This record gives sequence, structure tokens and C-alpha cells, in this order.
Amino acid sequence: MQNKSILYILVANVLWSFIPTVVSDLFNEFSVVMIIFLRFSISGVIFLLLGVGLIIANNRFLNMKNIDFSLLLSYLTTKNEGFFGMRNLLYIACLGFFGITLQIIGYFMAIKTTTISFTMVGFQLSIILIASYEHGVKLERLDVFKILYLLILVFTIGIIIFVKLRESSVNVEVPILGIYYLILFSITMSFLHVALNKDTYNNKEIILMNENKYYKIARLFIKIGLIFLIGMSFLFPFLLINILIGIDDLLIKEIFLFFNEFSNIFEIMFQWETIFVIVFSTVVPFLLIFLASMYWTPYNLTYSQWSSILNIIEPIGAITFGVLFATEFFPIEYLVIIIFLLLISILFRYAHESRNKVNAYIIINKEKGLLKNLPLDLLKIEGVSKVESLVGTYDLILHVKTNSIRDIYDLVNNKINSLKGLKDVKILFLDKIKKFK
Amino acid sequence: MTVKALIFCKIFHSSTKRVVEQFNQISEIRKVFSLTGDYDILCEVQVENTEMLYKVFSEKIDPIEGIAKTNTHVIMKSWEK
Repeated sequence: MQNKSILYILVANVLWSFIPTVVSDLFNEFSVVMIIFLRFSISGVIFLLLGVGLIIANNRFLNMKNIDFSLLLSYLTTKNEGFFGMRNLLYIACLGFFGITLQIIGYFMAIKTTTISFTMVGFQLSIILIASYEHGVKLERLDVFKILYLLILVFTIGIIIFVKLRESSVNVEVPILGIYYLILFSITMSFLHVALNKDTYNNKEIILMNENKYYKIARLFIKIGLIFLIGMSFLFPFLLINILIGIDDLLIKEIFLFFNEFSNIFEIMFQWETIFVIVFSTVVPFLLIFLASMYWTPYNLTYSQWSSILNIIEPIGAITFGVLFATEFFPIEYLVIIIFLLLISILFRYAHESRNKVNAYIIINKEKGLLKNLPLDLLKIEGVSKVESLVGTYDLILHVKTNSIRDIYDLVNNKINSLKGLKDVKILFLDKIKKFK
Repeated sequence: MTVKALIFCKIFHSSTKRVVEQFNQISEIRKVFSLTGDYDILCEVQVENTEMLYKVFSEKIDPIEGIAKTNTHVIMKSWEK
């Protein structure tokens, strides 16, 4: 199962990397905005239906504990302490607008106005932004492997810019607005990456999740469906504001084209490229990612760590497929160097993640009368993956996985010790695993 | 209905390798961790019932030479996310 979950992440990234090649074909005929609208509104509806369908199927046909829709509503109205204390519905709306609407407009307009390979700089920039956030805000240690990893990314950005500048001196110029879209894409993608998992489960959800494994996946489906659909509902006011302000003539042209194309929406929807983007580059990869995160069992690294390691596959694949299948020009010698360097960067990232990861058990003695809610409150803490109630000298044992030793002290000193009713807290670092079935 | 238990073990000096090798022979032991702190090794045992837990502990784990002290905890319930 370990290799299967990692394979799911790998395949999802490869499928995502087809997007630029396929959409650049579509952009020759149809509006960028129409492709965005179709991709996310249809995928959003599919995920919402999958979530609701799973709940109905569970309640009617499966011999599992019923999933109550009111619990999902309670999730939407719960305050999200990890995201400025906003209600989860507002948090989802922020993800929809900044993480989907703005990100995809930036991504697709960058592809439209520049080239696939130049747009891929956005991925590397985003990784550098996320690393700066993790170092600055989460105080993650920048070890030699992470520094080498970031240096390789900077170097590959340099190569891509150098190639494009050389090309622009003899061919076409990279428009300034293309760079603006690229920066918009990098910032909003970093935001999506950082904020996507900032919501926590409430106590009722944790209890249900442990009685019915399907709740977690149904909630994921509904969450992503809502992110997509709310994101698309923001698209229309955003387009109107753009027409009124009129920053970019090309975008305005695309917006008018989008409204004109509404009469042909079904024709565009049934283009094989549109179907490919919706099914194979949106729904299937997200399903794979959900499956990987849901059935994640590897001991060595967490799902998010492997996800960070493998997300560089997307720009590698996008540049390669762009050169192979689209009319993308990129000197083959530079392409080989970039692919080689980015593959090496995966090794450095893996070395960084595995070198700094910390696995520990935290054993706790608690005061009387707290067994009902304390385990659930402990499980909400980021880094705690499992809580077990014990009969013996200790009352509770927490399974903890963090990215660094500093994280574990922050977890114990600031988060666990801030909870009331704990008498004794001990950290047991797991040095080595000897047997695992 | 299975019963899961965690057995914290304190090991005599230079005996860790031998003890772990013995643990690897016991099929009911699912996981073995090397620890820092009050105990040296933690093993997770999964058996059918408490009678079996007693049997595995008394016949297979307790006689192992090199174990100085054990502290067994039965898992009542677990929560995951």
C-alpha cells in the first residue's frame, strides 16, 4: 500500500502536467475563461455529486454508521482556528477565489500570453515562496539539502529565462502582462498549497470518522466541490470588474469571447480536449490524491511530505509534453539539463524531508473525568495523527509526526500543554523501526 | 474482536539486539520501536483476547533474557484523523 499511495501522487502530478499542452490547443479556438469555467464548474458538480452520492449510498445500502448531512453543515459553520477564526464556509470561499479563480486565470493567461516552459517558472517560484513561508513563519530549518534544492530551482528558473530572452531577441517578446500573470499564478498557488488543509475536524466529525471511514472522503469531495463551485461563482463579478477597470486588453477580449461563446457551450464541452482536461486532468488526479491521503500508511514520511517532494513532477512533465506534443520550442540541450536538474532536486527534497522528520510517541497522564473530549482535542492538533486511550500507568498515547525537532517542542510546549487537565506529558522519540507488518 | 496492547520494555545493557531478534520471532508482535526516554523498546501486540495476551506475554515475551522491566498497556480505544 505504501508504494501504491506514492504512485497515486506521482500519477496525479503526471496527469496535471498534461494540462498546459491540452489547453494551449483549446486556447487557439476558444476563450481561456470558457475553459476555466467549464473545467471547474463541471468538476465541482461532479465532486459535489460524488460526495452527496457517497453519503446517500452509505446511509441506504451500506451497513455503516449513518452520515448526517447536518454534520457537514456544522463543519461549514464551525470557526476555523487555523485560518483567522473564519467560519469554514468563508474559508472555502477564500480558497475558491484566491486558490482557484485567480490562480487558474494567472496560470492559463500566462500560458496564453507567454509559453508553457516560461509559465513553469511559476511552479518553481511558488515552491520558493512556500519554502520562505515555512522558514519564516513555521520556523522550518533550512538544511543543506533544502538549500541545494532551492538553488537548483533558482538555477532552472535562470535557464528558462535565459532561453526565453535569447529567443525573444530573435523571435517574439515576452509581454510584461505575461510576467504579471505568472507572478499572480505563483502567489495564489502558494496560498492554495499553504491554506488547503487549514481546517480541522470538530469533535462530532472525529467521532463519526472513526466509526465510518467514508465520512472523511465524502467531506473531501464536498469540500473540493464547494471550492470549485464557489470559485466559479466569483468568476462573474471578477470578469465584470475587469471589464470596468480594463487592466489588460487581451483578458477583456477573452471575457467578451467567453460571453459570445455561451451559445456554443455544449459544443465546447464535448471537445475531446475539454473532456480530457475535466476528467483526466482534474477529477481523476484529485481522486488519486484523496485516495493517497486517505489510505496513507507509510511510516517514513507523511502524505504532505511526499506530496511536496513529487510536486516538481508537474513542471517537468509540462515542459516535456509541451515540447513533444505542442508547438512549444525549447532547445533540446537546455531541456535535458532542466529535466536532469529537477529530477536531482527531488532527491535533495527527499533527503531534506527524511533527515528532519521526527516520529515520536507522547504519553500522557490526565486528570479524572476528561476521557470524553480530551482525546478529540488532542487529535485536532497539527502533527498528531492518532490518539489511543490506554489502561495502565499512562492514560493516553499520541502518535506524532513532525517535520523537525523544533515542531515537536512547539507542539508539546505550546499546543498540548495549553490544554487543561494534563498531569504528566512525556515525549518518547522513536529512533528506529524494527518490525512492521 | 482483537485486543491491542503496548508493551514498554527496559533492556539490560548490550541486550537490545538480542531482544529485538527474539521479538521478530513472535508473530503476535506487530511493531517494534526503539525509544529514547524511560524505556528502550516499545512493541505493539495484537491478539484475539486478553487470555491470548496473557499467554503471549507469559510464554513468549516474559522469558526473554535481557528484558529488565516491562510495563503493559491495553489500548481501549483509538481515534485517527
